[in-house]
Amino acid sequence: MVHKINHISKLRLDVASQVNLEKPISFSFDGKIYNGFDGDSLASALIANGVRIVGRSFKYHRPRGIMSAGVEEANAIVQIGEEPYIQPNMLATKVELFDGLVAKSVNAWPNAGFDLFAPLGFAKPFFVAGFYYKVFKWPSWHFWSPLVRRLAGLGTAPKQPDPDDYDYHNSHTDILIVGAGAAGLVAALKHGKQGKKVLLVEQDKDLGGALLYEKFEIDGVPALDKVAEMVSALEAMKNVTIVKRATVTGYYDDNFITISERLRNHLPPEVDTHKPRERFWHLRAQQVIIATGAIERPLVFANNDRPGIMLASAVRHYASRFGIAVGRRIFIATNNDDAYRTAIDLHAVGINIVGIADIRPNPQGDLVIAARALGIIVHAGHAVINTKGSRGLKSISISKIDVKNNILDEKQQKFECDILATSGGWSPVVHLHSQSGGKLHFDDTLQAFIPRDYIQQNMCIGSANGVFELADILAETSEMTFKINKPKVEPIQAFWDLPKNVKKIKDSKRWVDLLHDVTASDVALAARENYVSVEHFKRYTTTGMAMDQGKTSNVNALAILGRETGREIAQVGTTKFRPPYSPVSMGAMAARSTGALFSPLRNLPMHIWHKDNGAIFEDYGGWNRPAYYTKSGESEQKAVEREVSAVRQHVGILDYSPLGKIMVKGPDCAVFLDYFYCNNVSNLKLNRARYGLMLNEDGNVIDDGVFIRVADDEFMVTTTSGGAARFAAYLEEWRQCEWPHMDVVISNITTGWGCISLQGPKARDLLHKFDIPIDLSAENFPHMSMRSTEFAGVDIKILRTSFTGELGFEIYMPRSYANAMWEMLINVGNAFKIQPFGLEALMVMRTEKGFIHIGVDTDSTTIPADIGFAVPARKKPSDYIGKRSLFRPESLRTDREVLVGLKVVGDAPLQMGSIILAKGYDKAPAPMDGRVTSSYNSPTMGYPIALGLLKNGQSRMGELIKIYDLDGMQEAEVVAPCFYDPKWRQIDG
Amino acid sequence: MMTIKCPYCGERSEAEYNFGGPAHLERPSHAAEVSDKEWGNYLFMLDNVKGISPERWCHSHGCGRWFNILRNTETHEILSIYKMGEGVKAARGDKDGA
Ligand SMILES: [Zn+2]
Repeated sequence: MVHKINHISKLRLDVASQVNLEKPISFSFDGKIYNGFDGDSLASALIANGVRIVGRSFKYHRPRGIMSAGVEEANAIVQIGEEPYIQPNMLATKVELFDGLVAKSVNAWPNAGFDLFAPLGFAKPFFVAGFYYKVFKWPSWHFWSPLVRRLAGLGTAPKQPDPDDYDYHNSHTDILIVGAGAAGLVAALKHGKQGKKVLLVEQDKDLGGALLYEKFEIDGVPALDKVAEMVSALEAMKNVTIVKRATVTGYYDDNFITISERLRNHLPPEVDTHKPRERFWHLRAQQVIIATGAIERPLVFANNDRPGIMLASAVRHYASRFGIAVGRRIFIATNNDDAYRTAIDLHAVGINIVGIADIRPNPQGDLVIAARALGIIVHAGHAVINTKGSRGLKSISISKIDVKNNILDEKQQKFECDILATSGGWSPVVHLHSQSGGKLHFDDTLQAFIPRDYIQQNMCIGSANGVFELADILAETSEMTFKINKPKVEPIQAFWDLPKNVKKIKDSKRWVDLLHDVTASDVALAARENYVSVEHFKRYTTTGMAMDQGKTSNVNALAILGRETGREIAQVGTTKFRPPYSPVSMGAMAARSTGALFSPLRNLPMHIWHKDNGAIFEDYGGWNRPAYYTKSGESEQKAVEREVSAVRQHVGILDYSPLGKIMVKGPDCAVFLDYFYCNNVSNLKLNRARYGLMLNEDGNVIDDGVFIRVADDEFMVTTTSGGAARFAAYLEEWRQCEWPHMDVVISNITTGWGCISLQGPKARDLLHKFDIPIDLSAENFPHMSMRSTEFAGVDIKILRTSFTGELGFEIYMPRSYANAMWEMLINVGNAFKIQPFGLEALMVMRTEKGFIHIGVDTDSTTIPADIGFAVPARKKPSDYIGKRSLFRPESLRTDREVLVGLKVVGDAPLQMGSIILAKGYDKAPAPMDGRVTSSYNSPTMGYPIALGLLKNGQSRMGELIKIYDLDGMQEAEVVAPCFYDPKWRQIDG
Repeated sequence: MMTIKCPYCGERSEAEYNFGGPAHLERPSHAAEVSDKEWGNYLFMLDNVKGISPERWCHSHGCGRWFNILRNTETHEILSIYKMGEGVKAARGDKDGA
C-alpha cells in the first residue's frame, strides 16, 4: 500500500477544472509514491508531479514522455496493478487514477528514468526498416529471440490466473452512435426524440468529447453546461441507453459490432468484486452513426520525440480539464489555425507562450489575429527544425522555410522552452468506417483522409467526417439551431517532413511512428528497397501496426512515402484498418468461457457410480470418462494391469455410452450407406454386424465402426465417440446435397442411448444369470450379430462384438435405464470377479489385439490399404465416397507407410510419436521412415508393445529398426500388428 | 459477422451456419471411369473466386438444412439465397431468396 501525501503541485493551475482538489489520492509509478486527485488520469497526475520520462522507446530505448491526452498516446504505455491483477498495454492517458493504483513503465529496466538498456549503442544499426527480416536471419530467429524479448516487451503477462469475472453481452439496437462528442450528442437527441432505440457509446468516463476541454460557448453558456443539459435530456429518454468507458473495437459484416466495456478498471481491484471487470458486447445495429472525432497529427522534425513535445490540443486539454500546466514555457509549432487555440487558452491561465512557428508565410485567420493581439510572437514561414534536452525538452531551434520550393534556410534561431506543442493538422478517426468496408478519399483542402462510399448501413458525422468546426458540426447534425461564435479559419498548409537541403537535418532522426520507433529515414529506406505498396510498406517498417493502429503516424508516414516515390498521398492510398481500434483484454474476449466452461465435458450415465468407485476421469473426445479405477493408493499402472487381467481372465464391465450411435432408416438405407463404407453394406443379413471404414472423397479414413442391420430398411451405425456428431452431419450433407432423391432418415441417438460393454471369458455366464429370453450360445448368437429383446421390462439390444479380443456383449438401452442395469450387472457379476475397467485398459487391450484407434494410429493421409483393408476396399463392386481416389498413383505407391506391430528390444516402452529412422541410420538427424502411434506396457504379453506406421512395413517383418525420441534411441523388431491371440481362439469365450 | 436468411427459418447470425465450399460441384456419376486428371480436378481444382461465387451453407445450429448462397466474396454481399436442387441462374437477382 502507498501512503498519503497531501501537497498540491506547482503545476496545478488555480482554475476550476474537473479534478476535485478536495479528494487527494496516492498512487505509485515505477515504485515511487506520488499524489494526485479524484478526477485525474494517470497521465495528468504524472505531469502534475513533474514526471517527464514515462517510458522508453520500443527499439532504441530513448526516453519518452506523455505526448497526448487520449487513446492516440504512443509513448505512455504502462502496466497497471500487481499480481494477480496485472494489466499490461494500458495507456496512462486513459487510466483513471484511484487510491492505491500501482503503475509501471514498460520497455525499461529497472525503470523509465534510469534505463540500463539505453546506452547499448549496438542496437542502433540493427533497427533499420525491415530489421526483423534483415538482422535476425542468422543463425536463426531463435538465437535472437531471448535478447529481443527482454529488450522489446510491452509489459509482462500476469503469472497467476485472473481472479476476476468477465462477461459477454448480446444486444440489438436501431441506432448505434459511436462517440459522445458534440456530433454524437446532438445525433442521439435527434434520434432519441424520434422514438428510436438508441445506444450511445463513449470511450471516456464523461460525455462531451472535445467540449470537455475546449473553451467554447454555446447559446451564451460554457459548452460544458450545454453538454450537461443535453446529457440530462438523453438520460430522461427511456429509449436511449448511454454506455460510458466503452470502446467500439470492431465493425464487421451486416452491422455486427463489438464493444469493450470497462466496468471496474477505474476502481481498486478489491472493490465491487461481484461485478464483472469488463464486458464484451456483440451488437447488431440497424444503423451505425460514427461520431468518433478526429486525432491531431504531430509534426516531423529532428529529435521530435523528446519528453515535453506534445500535441497542441493535449496541452490545452490538460490545462482545461485537469487544471494542469504541462510546462511553464511553451513553444508552439503548427501548419494550421487550430494550434492557436492552445496559445490563447494557455496565455489565459498565465503560462508563458514563448512563440509560435507557423509554416505558412502569412497566416491571417481570426485565431491568429487573436493570439497576436495578446502579444504572442508568431514566426510566420518558420518551422521547428531541431530540439535539445536529453532527459526532457530544454530548447528548440527554428528556421525560415520555403514550403513551395521545399527549401530550408541554413540560419537558425534558438528558444528555451520546456514544452513544444505541435499540430500537423487533424485526421478524422475513420477506423470503423474503413473496417465496415467503406472507402477513404484524400481531401486536399483538409489534408486528411475522409470517409467516402458507404458499404453498410452507416454514416460518419462531425469531425470523423472532416467537419472540424463546432458551428458546422452542430449545423450539419442537428435540426436545432445553436448560437456559436464561428471564427474565420484559413486552410491548413500541407507539410509532412523538413526539406533535405540542410545536411544536418537530412541525417537527423525524425520520428514518424513513436510507438514503433520508425523514422523518416526508415520510410525512405523502405521506399529505396522498393516497399512502395502501402500494404508491404506497413509490414516492412511496422508503421501503424499493433495496438496503436497508426492513430498519429499513419498519414505522416504515407505522405513521406509519397514524397520518396514521387506520388501524391491519394495515389499512395492507405491500408484497410483492422479491428480492434484499441486493445481488448483477453479476459473480456474469453468472457465466461474459461476453466470448466471453456469446453464443457459431457458426463456418462453412470458418472456418479464411477465417481463413488474410485474412477480417475479424463477428457476423451469431449466426454468425461474413467481412465481407470483406483482404490487405496494403487498406482495407475497397477490399476490398469488389474483391469486388463480381469477382462482377460474373468469379465470386465465398461461404460461404453459415448460410442456414436446413428440410426439410418428408409427404403434406400442400404444403397445409401454403401456410399459411405469401403466394405459391402447391402449384402449384410438381418441382425448381422460388420466392421467398416468410412472415407472422405480423397480416400482417407475418417472414422470406423460397426454397422448392424436391425431391420430390412434400418441400420444402426456406430462411430468413434468423438466422431458421432461429425459423421451424422456428414451423412446428412451428402443426403441433402448429392442424393436428395434417396428415401432415408438419419438420426443421431448417441446421447439418448446408454451402452454397457461386458468383455471377458465369463461374460456369457454372467448374462445367463439373468432372465433374458434369447439363446446366448456361440452357435446361435455368433460374433458380429445383434439381438433385440426385452430385459426387466426394457427394450434392449445386445451386440456381440469385441474391441478387446475377448468374448464381448454390448448392451444398448435408453440412457435412463443404464445405471440400474449397470448396478444389477455388478451385483450379480461379483460372483464372477467382475471389475469395472476404464479407457486406459481398453487402449492396452485393443493395442495387444492390433485394433486401430482412428486419429491415433491413422492420420489425415491414411487410406484403407495402409491399415490392412486393401482388398475389400478395392474389390467392392459399387461406388462409394473415396473409392476413385484409392486408384490414384499416390494411393497405389508400394512404399506407403503402413500399420505394423513393434516389439521393443529391452524393457522400456516406446514413446508415442517417436520417430522411426530410415534404414541404414542409427542416430538423428536422419530421414524418417515412420513413427510410433500407440505404445503400452502389455501386462498380458509381459513386454512393451507398440503399433506404428512404417514405410513399406509389410515387407519388413523381422527387421530391427531404430527409433528416436528426445530421451534417446531405442530398437524394436517389426512384427505383425497383432500380439494377442492372433488365431482368434478367445472370441467365443 | 454476416446475417444470413435461412430459406426455412429466416434471418439468423452467421454463427449459426457452417460454410460448405463451392456449390454446384458435380460429382462424377461414373467415378470409376474418369481419368486421374478429371478426378483430381473434381477434388482439388476449386475456383476460389474473388467476386461473385455460388456457395453451399448449412444452418447447422438451426434446422440443419443445406442451401445455396450466391455471394460476393470480396464485399460479402449476398445476392441470392436458394434451396438445394434449384439452379443458380433461376435464383440470380432474387434478393430475398426462398
Ligand atoms: Zn434454418
